[in-house]
Order: sequence, then structure tokens, then C-alpha cells
Amino acid sequence: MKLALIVLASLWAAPLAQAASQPDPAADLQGFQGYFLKRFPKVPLAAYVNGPYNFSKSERDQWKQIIEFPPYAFAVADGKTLFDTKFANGKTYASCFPNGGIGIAQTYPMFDAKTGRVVPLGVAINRCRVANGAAKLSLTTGKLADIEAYMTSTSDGKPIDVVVPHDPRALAAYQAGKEYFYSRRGQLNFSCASCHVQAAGMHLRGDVLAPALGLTASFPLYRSSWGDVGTLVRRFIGCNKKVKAEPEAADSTAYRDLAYFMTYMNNGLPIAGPGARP
Amino acid sequence: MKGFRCGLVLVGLLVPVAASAAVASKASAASAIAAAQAEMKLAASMQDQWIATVAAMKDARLALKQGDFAAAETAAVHAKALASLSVEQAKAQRALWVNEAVH
Amino acid sequence: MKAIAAIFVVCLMPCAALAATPAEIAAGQKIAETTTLGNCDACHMFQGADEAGNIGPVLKDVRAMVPDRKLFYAIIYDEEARNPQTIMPAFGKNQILTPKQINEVIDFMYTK
Ligand code: HEC
Repeated sequence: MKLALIVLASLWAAPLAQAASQPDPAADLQGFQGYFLKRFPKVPLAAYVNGPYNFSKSERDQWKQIIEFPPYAFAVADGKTLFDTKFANGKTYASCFPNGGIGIAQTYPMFDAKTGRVVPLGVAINRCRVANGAAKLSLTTGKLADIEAYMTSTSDGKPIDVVVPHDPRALAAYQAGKEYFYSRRGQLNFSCASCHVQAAGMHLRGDVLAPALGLTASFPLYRSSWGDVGTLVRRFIGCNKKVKAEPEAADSTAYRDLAYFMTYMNNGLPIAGPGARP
Repeated sequence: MKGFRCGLVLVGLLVPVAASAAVASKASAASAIAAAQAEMKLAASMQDQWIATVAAMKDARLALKQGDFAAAETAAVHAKALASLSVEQAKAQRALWVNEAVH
Repeated sequence: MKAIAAIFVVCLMPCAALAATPAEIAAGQKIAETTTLGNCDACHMFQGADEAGNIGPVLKDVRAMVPDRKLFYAIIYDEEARNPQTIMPAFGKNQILTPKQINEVIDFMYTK
């Protein structure tokens, strides 16, 4: 009798354990997008790229005013100049990217089979610099954010298309990003999901919490409270600090994997970057 | 009489223990800082260092430098306690995070 | 004379436990509205709060909401122990607020 129970239990547990250990990004994607579409039936899928503006009329009105004279226009122009400027060796950024770097931002973060690591667009820009004898730039603001703003502007409207290949290292990176997103941390004991899933659309003080779906689509973006354009990593650092946790390093594996998971969840949504927020 | 002597022995045993706990030395402060640092390393490796932990550690180091060993030890003990809480949190989350996931 | 003193003392103790002093209430309000302390109004609306959030329940008639002071303390100390899904931070367990500060927040909330 006891034996039968054990056999039964192990039969039951085996597929469960397998399901838990074998990441299934495509199934996650369906469930994730389905969850939000069901919870906010009035918000169409593509509109999620507008983050908080779906949930607050006052913020939406503010936004309409902001984008009459897009505050990121300078960053895009500066970024284009930088992008077209030759390195000391005579090459340009275009030489590092498929299609000369135009209209490809929607495919990042990308898994790099050579290093086994996830490469977000900012890291790819720095890699290009190093390969051409230039120093790395800060991954959060400034010139790199400008270059990213320009490259992203050439992808505006293109559907996000992040690939998790059938490589155990890519699947592990995806899974690590997923776990980071849903794990509570910091003295305040919040996960990213506490605010951007559970409390999505609600007010945290004056801020409307953008839902996790669409969260990455407008980056890099101009924030009035920043006073300039910042990258997704800059936002990660800010949101880690909000929960009283020390942020990770800007080029850490943790942030790369987190961006990989979050952007994959946005597959199919249009790129809406660079964006602007109050 | 027997009881009295026994009590004396007890007091004699307790006094040095109490004294060492109360009077912080450079060595005891340094060892408290080392203990806190080890716990913080663990917390960082689990991607869950608290800002308050780092701040307490900074206080401890500053006090040590200024020769205030009691304050250094107190701050280091606090840093270790916070680091332990975050380690506990991170360990628990390894099983609990799935409850927050949307499918 | 002794008897009067005794009555006085006996009365003082429970009175002190029941009625919070204005100073305690003011301290509680400061904690509740300070971002680096309780920051209650980031998530909860209560009368007098400036730019309050709406993630948690509105704090109104709080004494009727949580008449049991011990339970109220437990909710602020570590609500996750009672409700694993909550997003209410564990202010006591995670040493964001001291026991004294939690009690002052309760004193303030009981005026709402
Ligand atoms: C305490 C609540 C809270 C937590 C926890 C939190 N965030 Fe945020 N997050 C905010 C607020 C507030 C904003 C600004 C308003 C908005 O756009 O949602 C924001 C904005 C963002 C944005 C920009 C969205 C946009 O459209 O401008 C991203 C991306 C983001 N958070 C990612 C994260 C990640 C990743 C985590 C976990 C590491 C996280 N957040 C955890 C509160 C939080």
C-alpha cells in the first residue's frame, strides 16, 4: 500500500518537476499577455506601450503636451551624429550591426551563442566601441542613451521580436530573468510584479503604475524628473532603490537577464521609443 | 553556606563574561565587522542587499576609524542582522516567487 | 489619603494605555507621512494625506476597521505572516520602524 502511494506520488511529481525545470517562454508569453488583456479589457494590446497613460487622463493630457515638442528629439539628433561619426580606425557603428544598425532595435536583447550571455542594445553598442578601440560608455545616460535613442527611433512601430533560442544557456538566462522579476527583495519586500502586476494601473502616491506588459517598449525615454533621456537599466536601478535594495551593476548578468525576460514578454507589441514620461 | 559559595563562584564566572560583552575593543569591533561582511557577501550573491545594510556597515567602519569601538560594534551587529534578514528573504523567495508569476 | 493615591495610580495606568498623548499622535503622523519612514500615504488614502496612493485600502474609521490594537500592531509588523500574498511591507520584522514608532503610527491612525 505504502509502496503504491510512493510510486503514485513519484509518477505525479515527475511531470510537475519537469514542468518547473523546463522553461517554456512561448507558453509564458501567451499567459502573460492574456492575463493583462483579460484584466483590462478596454486596453488593446498595442496600447500597452504607452504605459501609465492608459490609466490616467491627467497624465495622458500632460503627455500630449509633452510630445508636441518631443523632449527626446535632441537626443535622437545627437545620437545620429554620434552614430555616423567614424571611430579612429575609420569604421562606424554601422559596421557592428546587421542592416547597418538601422531598424533592428526590436530584436534586442539578443542571446549571444559565442559568449553564452544576453546582450542588450546598450551592451552591443559598447562592444562595438571596444572592438573599434574606443572606451565603454555609461549604460544609463548620456551619449550611449542618445545612440540608443537614435537606433530605436529607426525601429519605431516595428513589432518587438526577441528570440529565446533552443540553447540551454539562453533558456537559463530567460528563467533567471523571470525569477528576478517575480522575486521580492529589498527592505520593503516588493517584487517588480508587486507594483507592475498586482498594483498595475493603481496610484503609488502621484505615479500611476505602468503594467508589466509594454514596460520596456518606450526605452530609452525622457523623464521630466530625470531631465534627460535614460535607458532601461537606469529605470531598473531606480526601481531597485524604491524597494530599499542596492541596485545591481549596470552591465550585470542579473539586469541583462531581467531585460531579456521583460522584453520577450512584450513580443508582438510595437516599439514606441524613444518615449516621454512625466 | 554551601549555597553561598556556589553563588560566589557563579558571580565570579559571570563578571568577566559580562565585562567582555559590554566593553568593545578594537579587536571585538573588527571581528563584528568581519562577521557582518561575510553575511553581506552572501546577501549580495543572492541579489538581495539592502540599502540600510550598506549604510550600517559604513557607520561601523567610520566609527572604527574614529576609535569609537562600541559604536562600531553596535553598527556592525545591526548590519549583520539586516543582512541576515535579506538572506532569509532571498532563500524564501527561491520557492515563493512562483506565487507571484502570471500564467 | 493613601487610598486616594492608590485610586489615582490605578486610574492613571489604564488611562495612559488608552489615550495617546498629542505628542505621540503627532509623532505618528510624521512617521506615516515621511517617505523614508512609514510612507503610509504612498499606498493608503487617509484624511489629510497629500497625493495619497490607492494600492491599499482607504484608512477611515480605523478604530472600527481594526479594533484590536494587537492585531493592528501585527499587521504593521509583518502582514506577510498572516497573508503571504500581501504587498504590505513588514515594517517591524524588516526593521524599518521600531516598536515605539509602530505604536505611534497606531495612535495616529486611531484618530482617523
Ligand atoms: C514600489 C513599487 C515599484 C516596484 C516594486 C517596482 N517599480 Fe518600476 N516603477 C514604479 C513607478 C512608480 C514607476 C513610474 C511610473 C510608471 O511608469 O509606472 C515605475 C516605472 C518603471 C518602468 C518604466 C515604465 C514606463 O512606462 O515609464 C520600468 C521599466 C520599471 N518600472 C521596471 C521595474 C522593474 C524591472 C522592477 C523590479 C526590479 C520594478 N520596476 C519594481 C514603481 C515600482
